[in-house]
Amino acid sequence: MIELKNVERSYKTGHTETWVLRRIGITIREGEFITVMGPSGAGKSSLLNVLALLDDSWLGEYWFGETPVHTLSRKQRADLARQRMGMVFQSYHLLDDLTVAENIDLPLSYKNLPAKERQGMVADILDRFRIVAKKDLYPSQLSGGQQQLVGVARAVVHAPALLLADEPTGNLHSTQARDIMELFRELNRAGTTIVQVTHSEENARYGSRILGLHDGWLTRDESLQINTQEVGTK
Amino acid sequence: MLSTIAKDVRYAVRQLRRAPGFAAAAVLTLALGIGATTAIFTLVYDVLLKPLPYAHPGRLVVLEERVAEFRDIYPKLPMNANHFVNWQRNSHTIESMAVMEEESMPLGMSGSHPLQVLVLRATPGIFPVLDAGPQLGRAFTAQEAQPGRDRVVVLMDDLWRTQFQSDPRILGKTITLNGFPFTVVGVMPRSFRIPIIETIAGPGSSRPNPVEALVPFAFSKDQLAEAMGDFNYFGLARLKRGVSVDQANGEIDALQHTISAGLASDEQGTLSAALTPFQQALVGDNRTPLLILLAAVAGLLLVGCINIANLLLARATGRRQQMAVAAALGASRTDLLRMTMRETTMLAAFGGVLGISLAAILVPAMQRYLPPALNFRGALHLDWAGASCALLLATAATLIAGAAPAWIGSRTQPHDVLRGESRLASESRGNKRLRRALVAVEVAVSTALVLTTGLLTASLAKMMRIDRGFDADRVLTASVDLPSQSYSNLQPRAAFYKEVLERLRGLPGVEDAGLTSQLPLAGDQWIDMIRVPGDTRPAMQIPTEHFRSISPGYLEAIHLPLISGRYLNASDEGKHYALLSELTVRTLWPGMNPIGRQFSRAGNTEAPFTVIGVVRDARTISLAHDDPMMVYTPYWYRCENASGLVIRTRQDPSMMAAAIRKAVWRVNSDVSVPVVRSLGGVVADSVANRRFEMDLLLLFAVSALLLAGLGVYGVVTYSVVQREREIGLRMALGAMRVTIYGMVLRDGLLPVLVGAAAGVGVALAFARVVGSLLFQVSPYNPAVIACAVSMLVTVGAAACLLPARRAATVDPMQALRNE
Repeated sequence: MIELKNVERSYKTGHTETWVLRRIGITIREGEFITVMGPSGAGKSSLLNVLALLDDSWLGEYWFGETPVHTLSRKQRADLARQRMGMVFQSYHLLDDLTVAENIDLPLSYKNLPAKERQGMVADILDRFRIVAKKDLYPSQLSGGQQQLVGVARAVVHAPALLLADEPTGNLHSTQARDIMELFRELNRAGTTIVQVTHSEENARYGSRILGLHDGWLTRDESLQINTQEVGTK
Repeated sequence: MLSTIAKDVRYAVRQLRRAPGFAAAAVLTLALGIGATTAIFTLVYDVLLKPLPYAHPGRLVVLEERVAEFRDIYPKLPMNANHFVNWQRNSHTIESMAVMEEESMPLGMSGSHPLQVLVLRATPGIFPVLDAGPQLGRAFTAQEAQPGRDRVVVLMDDLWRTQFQSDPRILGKTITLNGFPFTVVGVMPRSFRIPIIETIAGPGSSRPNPVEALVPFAFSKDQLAEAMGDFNYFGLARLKRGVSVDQANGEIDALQHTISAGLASDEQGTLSAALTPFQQALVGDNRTPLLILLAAVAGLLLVGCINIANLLLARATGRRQQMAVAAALGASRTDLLRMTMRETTMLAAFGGVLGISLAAILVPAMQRYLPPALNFRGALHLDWAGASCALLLATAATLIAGAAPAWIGSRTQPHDVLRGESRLASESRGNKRLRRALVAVEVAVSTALVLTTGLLTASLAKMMRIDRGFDADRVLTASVDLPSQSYSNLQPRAAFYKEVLERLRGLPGVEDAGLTSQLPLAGDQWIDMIRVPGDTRPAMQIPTEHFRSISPGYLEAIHLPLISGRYLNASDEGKHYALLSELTVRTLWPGMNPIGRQFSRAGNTEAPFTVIGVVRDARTISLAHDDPMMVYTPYWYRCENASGLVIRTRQDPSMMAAAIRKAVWRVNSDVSVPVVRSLGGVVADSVANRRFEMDLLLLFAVSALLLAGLGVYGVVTYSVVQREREIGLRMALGAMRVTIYGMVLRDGLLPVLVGAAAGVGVALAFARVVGSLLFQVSPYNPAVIACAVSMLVTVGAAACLLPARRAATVDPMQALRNE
């Protein structure tokens, strides 16, 4: 589904150039649930930004299926991201003057879809995530876990092929975190490819593969045997 | 307490020094706003509120008359001498009264070009009415107000100082006024001033000289016998203590009814009185424009304060952390309030001081814009009233600009702020609403101001473009004053004018020259009634006409077109010929050919006039109105000592002034030629008051427009900065640049549109007030309203573009980096 070849990213500060990704080569297959781990400053979020097409200033090759992303214009990349990707943030990033339903509708509103179709999609996702009763509430009226639930619903409302999550449970307590991870697993089983960044070994065990980064270098690429029982009862 | 204040001042100065750009912008905005408002307030105070410089000025009233039969044309008339004597004899509510008229007279002996001075001819009551007496000598007595005994004069201090070198032995000396010897009996004190009464009824823009001498007004037998004509004299009275204007008006009304009852059958008319407080009469039509100016400049200050409030709000939001720390360390709500207000107070203090200094410079410069009727009190300067106004404005500015930021600052909850950045990515809803409301208010004020200015500008443009009926290009006007002694009869006057006109026509570069009793746009003088053969109506029912004595060449010189018949020519001399305006012809002989028809002046037995020509209706009395019925009679029939010369030139008329004076003085060097100026200048001057008001409003409106634009820019920029993460998120979720552009423009323009609509509403609510100042422009004019709204929306959109561009270039990765 995704292939990165020799992807590199650096930032210039004055005369100093700091490398945050070094010669990254990864192949992500459809249906995988990948966890990116590593200490702070290892380049995890930078890698996620490259994958999410939020970052334009990297070097190397990025293939999304048959599409050479590295040759696309900024607008074409934005179109690709809009159609095929969803993003979940650590701080949820819900807009506090929009209701739950309106927040979920936000990515659909940028897709030129008819209003009726959008309403149907939002209704489906509210139902699927069992938050219909909360559709008219504002984010400030929800708990952290509920807010992240809405964040995930927003990320998948347009049924993206790839879901990217940056520390999705970083601001949640353990029970809420477990609920979100269960939700990710369900989405993955339903066919969504997921790439998550986390520090949590426990969350990593929900995935099928772990990528380790250190000082921008890919230092670990390990497939996991999923033990549903172990993770679920922990 | 003092140390707390000192500490607050120190902190405030330190805060402002850290943001010098903000501090300079805020202080300058306040200084300009406070300075301009104080200056206009001082003008308004001087004109509308400041008591007149006489003892108990509230008891002074202007005496006027009403004649029911004339009310459609003349709602009020000046006083008639016959009625004045009756009122003086029989009134019990009036302590003293006087009538007066002004006359420009040559001062000095013959042989040199005499100095022209403005003399007030007044009945002796003038001194008790104004409760003033001479510093030297005495006032004139009732006996001296008799024909033949009236050659006494009381000098004003200025004339005594400048022309007689403050001669302490001036009393009893003889001076020559108007060619006659007058004995000086007194000199008025320096502080004594008299308004220029000629300007009260219809203040023009010309600036006549102040009154420089007083002479007794001795009524002639004819004047005293005229019961229903000769309404020509300015009346002034002092009410008895405790008597109201209404009471006195009621009593004089009763006297008027008695006079009406005694009138001859062909003069039957219904008389009543119109007593108006002196100050109100002096202010006249100037009240509304002055109040509009005051409202406009106060609106500008409000817009400035709102801008500062918005800037302070942005700073207050940025300092929430600091406030939270203070609150967490035990600062009370009052302490927090003080912390937020000290910066605003310091800004207002600096702005106030600078504003007062600016007002002190502006106020004296506004002297020349005082309505002539009110420009008699001496130098206009910033006084305690103006300084108090500035202080009040500075306090108001502190409260208006500082209230919202202080309220937000004092409500800081430390736990909300100190637990870190808000999880939610956009600006707080309450804050956003408040800032939008402030923008809407400033846009509303600006729209009202721009709309009002637009209406006045359209009105003035229309007035200047109106078809005046005459052509002012390359035309020079000159006023001449013949000394009364040498020119007491018609014959020498007419002979003088004839010779002068011949000399003028002989000057190189002169195309045509003529004489008129009243120059265009210089007021009105001779109003009379004419009767056509067969009209047997009583005199009071005959319509009145406005007369001009003219020479051959006058109508040709101003290019007033001939409709039928012919102009006067030199060979007509001695004949009773006349030209009429179209309106006069339509009224007297509707549908008939007037040429060759005859008419007489009502009540006059002399030979009738024969109509030889009809000229176009024009606007020679005021640009704002069509002329009433006009009658042009030849100067050999009647001409006065004061007349106007009109000279059409082939070259730039300004080059000819000296030649014209020389031509007059070659005929008689005693004749004064006080004013020579182009007719174009006279036309421009006739709208000088309107132009001044419009120029000031234009300045205020442009400033308000700029401030509103800055306000929108500030608010939208701040909003974009606050919403950077939200915008980044939207872009991460798929929003395109054009969507972000649209979002920012929509958000920025919404309060602009709401404010513009509210501003139009405000302007329309005051449409009647503004409408009274407009000329052929409706206060509801859709084009002007659309223009004003478009200007505000364009400025608003331009102000949104830069921040919108900034929003559209937000890098989502950077915006969400603190993930």
